[in-house]
Amino acid sequence: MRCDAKLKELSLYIDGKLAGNKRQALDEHLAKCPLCKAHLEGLESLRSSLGNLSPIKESTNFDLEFNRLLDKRLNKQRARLWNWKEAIAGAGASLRESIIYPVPAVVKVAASLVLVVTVLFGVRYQSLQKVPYVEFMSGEIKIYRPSNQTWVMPTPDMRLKPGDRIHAEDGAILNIASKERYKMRVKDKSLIVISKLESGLRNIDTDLSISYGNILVNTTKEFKGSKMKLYTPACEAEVVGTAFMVRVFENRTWLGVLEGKVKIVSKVHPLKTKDEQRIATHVSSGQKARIRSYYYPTIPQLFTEKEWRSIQELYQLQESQQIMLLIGTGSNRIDNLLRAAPLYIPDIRKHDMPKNIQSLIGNIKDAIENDNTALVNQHSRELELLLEKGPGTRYNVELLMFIASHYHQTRNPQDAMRVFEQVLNEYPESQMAPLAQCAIATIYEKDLKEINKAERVYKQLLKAYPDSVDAIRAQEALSSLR
Amino acid sequence: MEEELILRAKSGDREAFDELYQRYKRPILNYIYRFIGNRADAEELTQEVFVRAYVNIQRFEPRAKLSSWLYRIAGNLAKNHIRHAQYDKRVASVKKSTYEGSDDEFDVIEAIEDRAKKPDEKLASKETERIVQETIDQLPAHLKEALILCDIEGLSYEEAAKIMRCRPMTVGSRLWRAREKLAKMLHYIKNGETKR
Repeated sequence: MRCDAKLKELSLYIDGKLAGNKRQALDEHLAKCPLCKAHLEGLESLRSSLGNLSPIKESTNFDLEFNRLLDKRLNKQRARLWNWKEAIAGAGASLRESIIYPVPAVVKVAASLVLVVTVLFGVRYQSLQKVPYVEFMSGEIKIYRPSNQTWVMPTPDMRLKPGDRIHAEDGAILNIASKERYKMRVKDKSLIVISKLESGLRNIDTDLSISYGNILVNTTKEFKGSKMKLYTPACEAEVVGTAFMVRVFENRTWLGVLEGKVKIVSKVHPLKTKDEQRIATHVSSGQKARIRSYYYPTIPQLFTEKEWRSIQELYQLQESQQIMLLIGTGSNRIDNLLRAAPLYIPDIRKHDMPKNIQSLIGNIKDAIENDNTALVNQHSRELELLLEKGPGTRYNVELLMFIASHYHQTRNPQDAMRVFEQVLNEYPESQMAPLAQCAIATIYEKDLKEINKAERVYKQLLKAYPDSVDAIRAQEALSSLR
Repeated sequence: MEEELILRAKSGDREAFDELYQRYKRPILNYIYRFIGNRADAEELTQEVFVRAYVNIQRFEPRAKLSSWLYRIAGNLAKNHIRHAQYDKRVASVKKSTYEGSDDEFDVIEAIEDRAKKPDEKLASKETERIVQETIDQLPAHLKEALILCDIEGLSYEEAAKIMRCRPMTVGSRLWRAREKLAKMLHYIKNGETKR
């Protein structure tokens, strides 16, 4: 007899899972089939052997290891909440962990769709963030939008589009910002077309065609990787991470660079050379260049006093709104400092500063504009006394530097030096300290003509602040003194 | 009361969780050990089971049995471990077969024969236990799961079915096939005797 059909029943039989009549039939079969009987005994014996396998015990430091592991995982989880990058990794881990909860395929597909949509939305959001928008405007400005074939009035937060034609009238100001990449200001009578606007996940490429008008651009550290090109009738200017100002007239372009560098490419007329030539020039910080259509570009020159003051407006386009002394960040910033550096106080910071200090700063500014050196000196002294007596502000260092800068402007190098020394002694950790020390050395060198002392202070600066930008200046000064 | 401990653990009470951990760590450790056959790895995986349980305790529904939930986490981790280990093995393409053609063949047969003479005697010796474990290791994961839960851990078909997320009768069929294979490999039943 073939007993194959009984085998499964034998297994159920020993577990007591065989229903009444089947069990009875099997009992009868077992009574007469020695093979099945032996098989049954084999299975039973296997089962009892397995049941008797001796259990293992955990090793001695098992609990300790477990608690350490659990603490570690919990700490990681807490940290993950604060870090979005970790959060994405965590999502992966949770997906892996979710195997403890097998879910239906429909849920998995739905979850994947949600994930994909979220990621796409995130990418789109990231690139949308960089699309420049109208931050502020005043005066008569209108924008022609080719897609609608209509003129629209700009409104705050309005996103700009490629092809937009910006038309500003005299006295108008339009601030445009690409979040974390750059800020621009279009001012006075201007006509500018946004010829290209492509925003990626990390970068934004902006091309502007400027028929005429004024534009100021201030890029941020995050600008790296992004591109900006300005096309004027006379030249093309390519931005290399910088703050600069462009004035465009019908057949000439004026370019002034406050920080960083701008590369300009101008066209030279074929009659002047054999073929049309394109000549590239780099304009660096503190320099200006004039470019006329089909002429060789002028060699970049230093700003005049007036130009230098006008370009300070760029500091208003900073990403972070801090009270700051308007000086460059290059090694020539000492020159900016020693000619009455203005103090920029953004509106949102005005509540931080006592009113009497603010009004004195205003008085000093007015006196400078009226070239009244006696009054500049007087107000500077008043401000110094006020700082000495009154409670200090968060911006004491900037204010002291401002005072010293104005003393120097009024041909009062002794007082200037005294205040610079105060900064150096009281705020040696401040970013202004090396600048103050450099100013002292420069005053010795240029104003007091005490070369030995100048040399000594430059050397001290090199020793105390070797990594500062002012150390470069000190090095240059020392080699020229020798 | 286990329910109370679970509620306390859910509210972040680590002491309550520790009590549950002490209660279940050994059954889970043994379950995983039988599943993967390696003690050190089994300890690591057991710790991972309880870490995951603590982290995900909010997701545990109190009407289910905690032990079933823990066994399920353990089973999934063990299966994953085996999958990875098999992949590693394929890559290394070594690892001799425990049975046929192995150097231990003689010892194995001797041990089996010895036990076959006294089938009801407890599998006491370390060596025999090792052979049984190595034989279990050769079973496919789904059969192994049924065998360990029912025959070693002593759970009912219904309890095992909840852990394995299948019907109790499926547990019965898997158990039958596991026993048949194991019994043949360990010579509890003779190969030619009851051929399917």
